[in-house]
Amino acid sequence: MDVTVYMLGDGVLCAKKGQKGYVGRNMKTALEKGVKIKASSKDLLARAIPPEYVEPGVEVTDDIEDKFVEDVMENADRVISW
Amino acid sequence: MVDAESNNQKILSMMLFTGPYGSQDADHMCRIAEKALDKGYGVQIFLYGDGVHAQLKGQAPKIFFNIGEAMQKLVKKGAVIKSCVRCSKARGYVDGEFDEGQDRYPSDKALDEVKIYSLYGFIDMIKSGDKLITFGSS
Amino acid sequence: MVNVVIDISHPPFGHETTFAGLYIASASLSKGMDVVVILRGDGVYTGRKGQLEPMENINLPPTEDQVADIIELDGRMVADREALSMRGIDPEELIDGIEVLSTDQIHDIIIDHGEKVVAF
Repeated sequence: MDVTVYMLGDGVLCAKKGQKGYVGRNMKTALEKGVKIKASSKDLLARAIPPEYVEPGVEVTDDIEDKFVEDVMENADRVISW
Repeated sequence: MVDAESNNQKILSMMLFTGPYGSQDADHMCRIAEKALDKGYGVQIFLYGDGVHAQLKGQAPKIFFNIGEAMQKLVKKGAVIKSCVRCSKARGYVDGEFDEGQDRYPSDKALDEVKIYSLYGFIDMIKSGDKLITFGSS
Repeated sequence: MVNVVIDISHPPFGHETTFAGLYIASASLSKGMDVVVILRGDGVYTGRKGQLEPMENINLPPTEDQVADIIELDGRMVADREALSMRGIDPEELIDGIEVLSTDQIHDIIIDHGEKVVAF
């Protein structure tokens, strides 16, 4: 199963590298298992998380709303939002 | 309801459960909705719980993204926006009984572009939309 | 047949969220949709039976009645075993008709049944 996670707004905080808690661990596991994680470039920059502070493997994504809508409407069989 | 049958258009349904400005949720929803419309999809939005506050006329944030204006723009671009009558009544928006002619509950305080409606308006959106995303509820 | 999952992760009363979510569940059922309500995280508190007159005590409607209605309308209600255990809730404390499932089983429900997922 292909899984993509989109991080917008405060969600991008999950993408910061070097986390020692379970979110960081779960994210690493997800990436190892092939989950795609895309984080909004605008939201990262606004929150002082430049690309070098982002967990390797997480895709810093411009115009994320465009990619998100496309993925949701054309590719996803299942969508969950929080 | 967004009329998809006539043009085979895919429809994105959305729910907003939190009010504007207190969090970024309404902001994200409006931006994603506009993107979907620009890409040619139909958009239908239901305001639920505190989300109904997004319908208030006269919003004038000094520096934040104006959600009221954003929603008016969405409707102009073809989105359908309804809000929950129970939630709206609780929060002081509803002025009378359902108006069959206008297909909405009357409200002086709510934007004309938003239709205050029964919850079944949302159930229909859940049913008829191709995909559903929610903002501010979990 | 539209398959709907209502994902509840709040306890009742402190926020309107759970009440609002359960309402969507029963309204969807009354419109012929196939509904599964998932109780996970703090949502498992919503499954506990024995609410004592919330309307009289705290002026809030009984979510226990909403849960019972959903079950009567043939909606499926499931609760996450791990979330229950973390919170010290024994399955016997739950309203009749709620199934206790593993987290994996709950994930399967979302994948198999979650055409539309409404998260509360």
